[in-house]
Amino acid sequence: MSLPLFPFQCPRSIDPPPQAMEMQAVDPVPHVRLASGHQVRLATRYDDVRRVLTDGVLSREACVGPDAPTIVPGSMSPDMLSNMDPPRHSRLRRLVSGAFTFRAVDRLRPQVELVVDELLDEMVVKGAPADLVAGLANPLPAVVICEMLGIPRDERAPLYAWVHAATHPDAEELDRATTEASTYLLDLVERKRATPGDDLLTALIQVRDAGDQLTGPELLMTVLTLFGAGQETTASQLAKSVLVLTRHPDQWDRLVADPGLVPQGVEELLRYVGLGHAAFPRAASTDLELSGVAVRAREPIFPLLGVANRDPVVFPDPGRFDVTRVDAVLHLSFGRGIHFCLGAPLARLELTVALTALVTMFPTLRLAHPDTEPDWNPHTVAGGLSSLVVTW
Amino acid sequence: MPAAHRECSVQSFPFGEPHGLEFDARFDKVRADEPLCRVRTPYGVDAWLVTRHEDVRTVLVDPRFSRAAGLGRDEPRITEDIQPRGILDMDPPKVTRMRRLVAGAFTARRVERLRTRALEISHQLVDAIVAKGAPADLVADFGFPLAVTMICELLGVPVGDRPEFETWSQALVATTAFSPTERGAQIGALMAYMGGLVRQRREEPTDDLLGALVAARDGHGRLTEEELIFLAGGLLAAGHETTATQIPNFVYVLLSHPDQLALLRSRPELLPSAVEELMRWVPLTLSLPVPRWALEDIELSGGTVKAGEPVFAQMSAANRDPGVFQDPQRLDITRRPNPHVGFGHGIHHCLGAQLARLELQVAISVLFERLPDLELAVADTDLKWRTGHALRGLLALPVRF
Repeated sequence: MSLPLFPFQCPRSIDPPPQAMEMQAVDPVPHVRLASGHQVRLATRYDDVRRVLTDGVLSREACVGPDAPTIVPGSMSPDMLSNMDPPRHSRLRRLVSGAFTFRAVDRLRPQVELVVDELLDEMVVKGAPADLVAGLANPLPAVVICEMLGIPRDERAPLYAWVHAATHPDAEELDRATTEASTYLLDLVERKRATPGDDLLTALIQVRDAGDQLTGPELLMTVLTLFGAGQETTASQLAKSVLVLTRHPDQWDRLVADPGLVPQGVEELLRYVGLGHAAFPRAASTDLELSGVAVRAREPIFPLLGVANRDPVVFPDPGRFDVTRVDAVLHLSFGRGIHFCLGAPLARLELTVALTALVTMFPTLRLAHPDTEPDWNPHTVAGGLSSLVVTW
Repeated sequence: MPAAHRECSVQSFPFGEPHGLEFDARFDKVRADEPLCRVRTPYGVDAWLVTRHEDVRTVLVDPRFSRAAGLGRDEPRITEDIQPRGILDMDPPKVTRMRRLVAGAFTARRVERLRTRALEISHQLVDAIVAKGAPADLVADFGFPLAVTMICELLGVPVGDRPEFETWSQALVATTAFSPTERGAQIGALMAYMGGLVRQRREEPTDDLLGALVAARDGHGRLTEEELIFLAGGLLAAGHETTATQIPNFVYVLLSHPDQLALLRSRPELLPSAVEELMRWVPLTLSLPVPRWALEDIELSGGTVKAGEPVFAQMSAANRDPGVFQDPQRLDITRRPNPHVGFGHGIHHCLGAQLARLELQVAISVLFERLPDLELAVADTDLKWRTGHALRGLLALPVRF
């Protein structure tokens, strides 16, 4: 009997694939095969996923390289922070996070608010209906990352072009755009070295930890990762959050009535909205047991974050969307352990600012075509939307 | 059938002054029979009137309809003199530039921070009302001071100067209540006053909205001095006249719809939805809509508007369009969806909409929560309504509690 193919072929949806939810109930650590032919394991239950993310016997490096199993092409570079194990990981993470603390991100709040205000006022001016993906979700993270890095407004075209190419099918175009963005960034690094600014890029150039500092390639990889990890994820999450809220008008109304609930609502949205099929795989250096199932050493395991977020053992009635759910914050959408999303404070900030502005500026917001299926973009890793047409 | 419509008789416009907050049924008739209706105003050239929701939104949002094109023309109007409207006389990109400057101050976040302040002021005003004892006048004792204090604090205008600019700003939204000379003098006084505040901020920068506008003007030379002063004066006037009028209007409408008031009391989470519905239901403006001029021939649902012709988009009529709102004459605070155009639409969409929503929500919730037995102190028929004014509202709203 052939193993099920992963990612599961199923209609795009906010909800995890029914197949995965069934596995969580009856066969929680199943074998599946990838299109590449690799045979791998999935972790579907909350406790197993958390363990795969946090247990030191599980390694990312063991699943990286040309022949490693992956469902995200282009994510295999051993120089990416997310693909490293300690001690290499610890050194780089310490250097980067020195410039990327919660405090540094919170200082960005006024800038993020201004970007959101400008984008939404443009939407008001153009009038209903409007595409929330093109008008808000896509530009917001890109503009914010550019602002953070201190990239002058009139120099952003190559970066926006690259971000755009990343969610479109033309591979050659993406290669070209990536090269142009990298060339631009290397040049900018040199300029910032000569003339430091009050920005994240300068901070990354200057970070020093006991005499250690980022090498040129590490610096470039870090900046590219900021876009790679921060753009599509945030854009998808924001668009899908609005989709979910418009499908749950009672929950939308609660946020309209009390915008102070938005931060809590953002956590529930992070729990409820699936972001991609799985986190990057890990493999253990020793045999181990997950939910009573024996997993062999070196067997790759993909942790299904979105499925774990619907585990009824941790989240009662997990299919119910409730912006006041108290333990929503236990979700695993930012991962756990040493690879916990560096950009989590920034993502939370952007989502909170954007949704607060939406519920206060557009209390009557709704889908323009509520009866048609939203426009899923098959070229996004996070399972994003090509457009989301709203009216008010 | 554009040609046929062009043969229709020309109707006098405005149709008349309906009593109180009554919705003029003639708009329903025109919407059904003549979606593109030829009208003649007391002064200026003839114009088209559109009343359907779809047409109203098109006229307000389509860039081929211009405000700036009306400058220097014989605009259809009520009074003999042509009244400058500041930002409302501009097209993009100029209006976009002005909007940008102000939008940062008026949008969601800064306004949300004002919620606590709006609550404080509302409670203080109710304290004073209770201390004084019934009857109270919710226009003078509540709606007006709340709206004025909020806009003054946001802009950075000393609240102590209030009595003076109350008259000035009333002139700015008056139609026939002031003579043209008187009106001009009052507006001149308001602008001179704002000019003084601007000069103060140039000497001593402040972090209020006026200070931010001055900094933006001086920093980038993006606004002329005159534009800046007119914008600030406009914000002061628009920021309190409208809200100060709507607060008593909303209270009055809720008191005259006891079923809806009871529903709101039992389900306070309906408050934002109730405010949207009241924005839809109350036909606030009494005067003419601001005409838009077609830059080219444009097809609307009732026919073609030719290039160079002015069009009135009647927002209050769009808000009662049965093609969009089921049972449109009914006040239904649970209505959903509610795509009303009470704050306008498109490039001139109310910049202060967030502030207005917040003040209206806070005002309604505090009043009905603190004064559960609130009721009119006079018969409905004895209420006095303003005349000769652009906005419909009560001269006084006497209540017992």
